[in-house]
Amino acid sequence: MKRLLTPLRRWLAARPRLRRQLTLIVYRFPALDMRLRGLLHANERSSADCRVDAAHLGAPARVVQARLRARMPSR
Amino acid sequence: MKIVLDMQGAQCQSRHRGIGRYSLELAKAFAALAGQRHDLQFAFNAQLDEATDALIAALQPQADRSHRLMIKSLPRVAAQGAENTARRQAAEQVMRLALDQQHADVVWYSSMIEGYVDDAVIPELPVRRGLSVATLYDLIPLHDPDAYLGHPRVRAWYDAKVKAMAQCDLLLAISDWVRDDALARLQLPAERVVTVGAGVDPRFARPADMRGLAERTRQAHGIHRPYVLYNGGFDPRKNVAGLIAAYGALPPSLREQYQLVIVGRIGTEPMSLLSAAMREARLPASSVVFTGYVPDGALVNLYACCELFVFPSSMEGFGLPPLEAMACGAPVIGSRTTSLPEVIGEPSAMFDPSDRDAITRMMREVLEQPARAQALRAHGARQARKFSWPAVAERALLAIEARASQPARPPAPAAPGKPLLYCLHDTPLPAWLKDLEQHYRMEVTALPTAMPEAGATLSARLRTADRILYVGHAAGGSRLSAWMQVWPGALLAAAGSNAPPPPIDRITRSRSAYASHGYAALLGDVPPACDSPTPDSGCLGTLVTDPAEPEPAAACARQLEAWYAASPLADQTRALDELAQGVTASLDEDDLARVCDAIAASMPPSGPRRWLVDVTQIARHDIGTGVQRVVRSVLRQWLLQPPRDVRIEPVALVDGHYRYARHYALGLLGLEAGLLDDDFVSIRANDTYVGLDWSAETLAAGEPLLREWHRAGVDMHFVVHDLLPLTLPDAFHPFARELFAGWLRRVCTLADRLHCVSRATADELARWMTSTDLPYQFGQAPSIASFHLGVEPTTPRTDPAALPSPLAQAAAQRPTLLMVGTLEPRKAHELALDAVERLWTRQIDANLVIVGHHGWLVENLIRRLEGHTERDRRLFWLADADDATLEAIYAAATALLAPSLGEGFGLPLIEAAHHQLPVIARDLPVFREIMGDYPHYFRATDADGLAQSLAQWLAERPQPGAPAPWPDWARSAAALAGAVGQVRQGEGVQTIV
Repeated sequence: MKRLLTPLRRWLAARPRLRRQLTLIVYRFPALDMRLRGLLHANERSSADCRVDAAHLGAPARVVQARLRARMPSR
Repeated sequence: MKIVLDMQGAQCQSRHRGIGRYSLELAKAFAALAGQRHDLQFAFNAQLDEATDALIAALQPQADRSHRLMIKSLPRVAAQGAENTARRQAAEQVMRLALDQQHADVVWYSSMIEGYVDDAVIPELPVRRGLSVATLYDLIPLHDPDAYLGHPRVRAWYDAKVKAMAQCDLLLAISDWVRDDALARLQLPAERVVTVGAGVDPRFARPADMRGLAERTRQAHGIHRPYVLYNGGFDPRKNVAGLIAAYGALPPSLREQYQLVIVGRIGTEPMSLLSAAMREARLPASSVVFTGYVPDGALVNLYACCELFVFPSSMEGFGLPPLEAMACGAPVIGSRTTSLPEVIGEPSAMFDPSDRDAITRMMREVLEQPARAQALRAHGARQARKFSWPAVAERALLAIEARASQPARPPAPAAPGKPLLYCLHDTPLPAWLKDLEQHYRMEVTALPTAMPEAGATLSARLRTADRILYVGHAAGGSRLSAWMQVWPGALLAAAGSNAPPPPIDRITRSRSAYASHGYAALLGDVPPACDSPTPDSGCLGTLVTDPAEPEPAAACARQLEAWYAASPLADQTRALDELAQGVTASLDEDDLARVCDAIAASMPPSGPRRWLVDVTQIARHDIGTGVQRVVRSVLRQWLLQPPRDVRIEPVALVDGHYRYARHYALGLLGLEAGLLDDDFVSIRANDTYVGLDWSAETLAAGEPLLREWHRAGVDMHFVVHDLLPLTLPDAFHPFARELFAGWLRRVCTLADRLHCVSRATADELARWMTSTDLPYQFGQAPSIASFHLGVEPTTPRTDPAALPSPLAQAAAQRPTLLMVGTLEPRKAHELALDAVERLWTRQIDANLVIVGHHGWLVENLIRRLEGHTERDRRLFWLADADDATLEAIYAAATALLAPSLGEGFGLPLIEAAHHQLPVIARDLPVFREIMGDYPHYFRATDADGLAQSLAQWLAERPQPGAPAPWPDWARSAAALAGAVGQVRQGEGVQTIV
């Protein structure tokens, strides 16, 4: 169910009339509406990660990494 | 003098102990004293972020962004874990490099003996530049190694820390006893250890109103009788068991009269020891009260209301609790050992802590003789006044200034022989170059075409080089430039050479132009810049041969030595050499990445200041909302004409990481998207973040990162378009309200400044902030500024054919009232329809034309519009009108009707005025602000009142007032830029909160 929400939203994006009708129906049930929106939100927005790792280095750190690797004996 | 004060003593686990309090109080007093005379920087370990925000808040205003240094480090470096050794060593080298990069005259460690149980990182070698100074709390573990240094790992760690401390140029001892102890144990010259003492916080004072306080205090802590008090730790040297035994030896009548109250966070092991002491002394459980941790406010009351404070510790570096107790008016007695005589200052109030009977005797004297207790109270008040933090700060500053005026520590001896200079060239060498052999051992090689693998011979040779000199062309993207980036060195420009510069492909040229001049360079034909001395280019500096120079080789050598001695890049290269030869082989890929990230972050900011403009929502999905129109317009203006000395960098949060939104920016400028990559954002301390987009759905996800950026010195700005979900809650869906409220709370707690699109919104925001309890990141509310949105200066071009024919006929027959905007409750469409129906009932003929998309919570309205008997006769709803149709409707309408209950700005009113269409608007502050006297205002709140106003207007048709001057987008963007720039420059604009 959770996994289907994002593809469903994308599919509906191309069908604005249907999307509007569905939205209006869901609006009548605030608890369901908030639950669905909350799930969509959690599915589509991963929390920012303050930790640094090898796969997410900015350019200045990559430059330093290249310099360090050039100086390191083979690992 | 530039003084860097390392605040890890107040950041790490010691923040819960006296060291943390000492570090913070002295830092505050020192900043107040020395902040005006010296350049004082507070250094924080970015890894210890738990307490940092509160610490920064406590150090405000001195620890503002320009006086804050957030040093990146590594996680999991505590010395306790053997598996952390390589990481800790790497972290120490990175920390030392970051401190060296400050080029400070003094680096002062608030506490050096840290990092065994947490991730505090104190370098074990002194900084290369400037004086190393440390606060010296005590060397008590050396007095009782069995108790404190039993484990070999603890012993090795402590010894290394003491050795590091002994290498400091100056130690600031917290008492004379600590100083004497350090001189004896570390064999240091007397001038290198100075006593600065300690202070007592002014909060510790006798309460002005003591009436009923004793009763309330006893009730609060479950105390039933007057009491004898102890506050402090529970190490064996604190001798709390001895105090319990001494209390147990008091006459039963005194014990019945006075309880013993023991304050402090106590673990299970010490608790069991104290329970055993109570059993041994045959004390009933009710005679001793353990309060656990007590906050400062309650502690003051406990001190003030006690009959006696006893401090039986056998060894103290200073002894803050008896001083606090004296300041609060308690009679104090304590041990005659170590530093306590300096603190208590009255021989008759001291005892031998190893003599239980002596403690009992003195307790009895005070409890049985009120005059003696009174004399001790009077003495304590006098004694406490001698200990103030400003006085400690003054002594510390004098000691530092005196030490700094003495000759500097001799530099480390240079390696024997001449340094090795490696010369790489891609153009012919000048003839004088061989003369450099007088200064260096030289190796010269033509630049190879490909970068060597790590094991190749040239890499091995370069690793041994002390200096690297490139000779040739170094235009951005060239082969030499690529080499220099990896093996930083100085450049001898190939001036006068006949060799043409190497060709560069279009993409490389564009990227180079962008790197040197930003987006504006991509629109013009800006040539790629030659490598300038920036960290990423790897260029220490460029030498150009002066034909008039008689000794070019000597001049070249002098310049090379100057760069290698002082350049941050040379420091970085040196640190990388040390790391590569040492611990990095033991680190995994992620740790290596963290080391590189921390090293990159330690470089001083270079290049133009950057504004990171958050476009997360619009870059992902531009659905053409009013806010997104603002984002596009402002960003486009900023990219085309950036504020002076500022580089605009759109950024977007993608999968939990901020990336540069370069593809979006290129698309906005009509440029090829593939020219630049959406790389990960690396912040600099002088960056500015601008939350231009409405990021309600993503801000919660990005908040941890934005908080980290803010801590690191990035200015935070957000644009607030309105507060409508809060001011008109019924007009929004509960989810939208919650989303908005969450977003607004976050931006308020994060921001340095909030920018509202109107003064009216700014006033509303200020009122909301003053009435809401918000946990501001650094304890300070943001300032609020306002700017006006821009208006496209278009000339109305009307095509009558674009008007639907029933509407054209109706407009020709009767006056037409036009409403423009999404159908949603706050626009008051239903009210307008009710009012117009009343006009029709009164035989006042008029059309009502509604142009706007189907919005939310308007099902009744839609049903009424779709089933209305006047539909397409006198009532029209155009849900999907295009621009041409809207233009035609503006031309055909008689007036714009704006009965909206609330607006952030009100763009349709301005558009109407551009079409010289009269406006009938509700009397809202924002309409008054934006439109001035142009509209005809009404105040009716019901349909009858509005119908009356409309009937009157239709009968009189008053001329509109003078239109207000509205800025275009260039002026609007410039106004916002001005307000953003003022925060960094420390200039004030009108601040509401």
